[in-house]
Amino acid sequence: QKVKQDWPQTVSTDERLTPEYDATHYNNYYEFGVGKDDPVRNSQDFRPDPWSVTVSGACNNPGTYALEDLLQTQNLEERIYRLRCVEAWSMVIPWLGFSLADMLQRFEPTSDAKYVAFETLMDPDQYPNQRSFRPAIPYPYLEGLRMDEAMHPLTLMAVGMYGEVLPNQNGAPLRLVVPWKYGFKSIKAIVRIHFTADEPPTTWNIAAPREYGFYANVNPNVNHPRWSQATERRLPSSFLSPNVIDTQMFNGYAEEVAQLYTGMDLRRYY
Amino acid sequence: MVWRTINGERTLLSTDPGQMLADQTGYWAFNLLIISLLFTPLSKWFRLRWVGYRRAVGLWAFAYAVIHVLVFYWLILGANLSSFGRELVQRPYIVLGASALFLLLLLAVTSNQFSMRRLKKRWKDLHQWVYLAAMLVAIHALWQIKGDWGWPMVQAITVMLLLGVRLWWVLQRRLSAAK
Repeated sequence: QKVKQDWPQTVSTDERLTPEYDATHYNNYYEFGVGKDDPVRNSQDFRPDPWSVTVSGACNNPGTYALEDLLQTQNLEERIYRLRCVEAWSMVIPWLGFSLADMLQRFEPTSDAKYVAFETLMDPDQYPNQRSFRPAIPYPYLEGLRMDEAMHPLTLMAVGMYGEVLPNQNGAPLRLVVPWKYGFKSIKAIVRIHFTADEPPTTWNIAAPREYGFYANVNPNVNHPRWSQATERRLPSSFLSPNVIDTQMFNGYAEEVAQLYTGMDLRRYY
Repeated sequence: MVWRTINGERTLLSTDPGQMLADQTGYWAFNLLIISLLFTPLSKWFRLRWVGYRRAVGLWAFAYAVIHVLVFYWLILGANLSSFGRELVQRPYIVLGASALFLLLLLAVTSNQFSMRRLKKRWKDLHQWVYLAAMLVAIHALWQIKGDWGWPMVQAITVMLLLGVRLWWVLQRRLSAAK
């Protein structure tokens, strides 16, 4: 199903795209299972339609919005972003979506809105790991951004990839893409957006606070406590070329985003 | 094994074969090590005569562990010797894995008849270190868990149970000797 036939490509790269097969058959989406092929195997009956998003907190236009209403006024763009997983692998993916800022502005956040929190669908009927006897992480999945990060022009609300609507396993129907942060910040299947004055709790930070911070900016100089973040495997890799490359500061988007963190100790705010 | 051709490139096994092979070889090295530990108690309880196969299983565990390290060096670290050295001293779970492999190496090179004859009683003492190796491997595996506990937990519990059985036997022997 094509989303739309023509859209401008607003962010590009000369790096080789990850083949669509790899990007849609190898990823993390713990709600469907912890294995890399669990998302594609267990998501085929997932229902991304109808879908609605509840907006709450410090804004003038709270309420429950049908997905169609959220998309109507937006112009789709294609953006090719590097995606760096905290597990030290990476891909290059052409997303379809729109600036998160455009969407958030419609809700008119007030001056109390210092952060914006996101929540993934909670539905044990559709998500095997949510009904598992021992879920891998606490659910529903929570993420959040500081307001200036959320309003940054690189922050994307994605509804498609590779020129088509998002596959269920990649976060249909609506997911975040924050290209300078580790992949787990880019929350999938969003059902709730909440504006708040305080830093919101985030799932991986709750699960392992020493290992995953709120900011989770890609940073080759700050290792994960258990493994190095200095390099990454650009997937797909093979036996002849393991494709191990150096990880770049802010995943290569330092020029655009470094000023958001001026004066912050990135070892402390990891 | 499946070969797939995309953009003229061939992908073997998986999008991320390094991770997959590292996980699988590590998993099976540990399983084989556990199986080698099962031989003595099972032979004793069920009066089996399988002990002859124990050496082969132990050597296969060692072989898988060596491949595991080669995969880590070649596919995860991109054959970068300096990052290999760094990982070896910086990452506690890799230090544990490396120590276990060193123990297994000692056991592998002394696994032949010649060494058994030469070392006599000391051979048994030396090869009891396999339990230390198994415990190091257990921690090495548990330390890398992210959300999911699963197999490393089952393997670690199995090792603890087997060690418990052996310690119980030692205790019994001591007690009956003391009488």
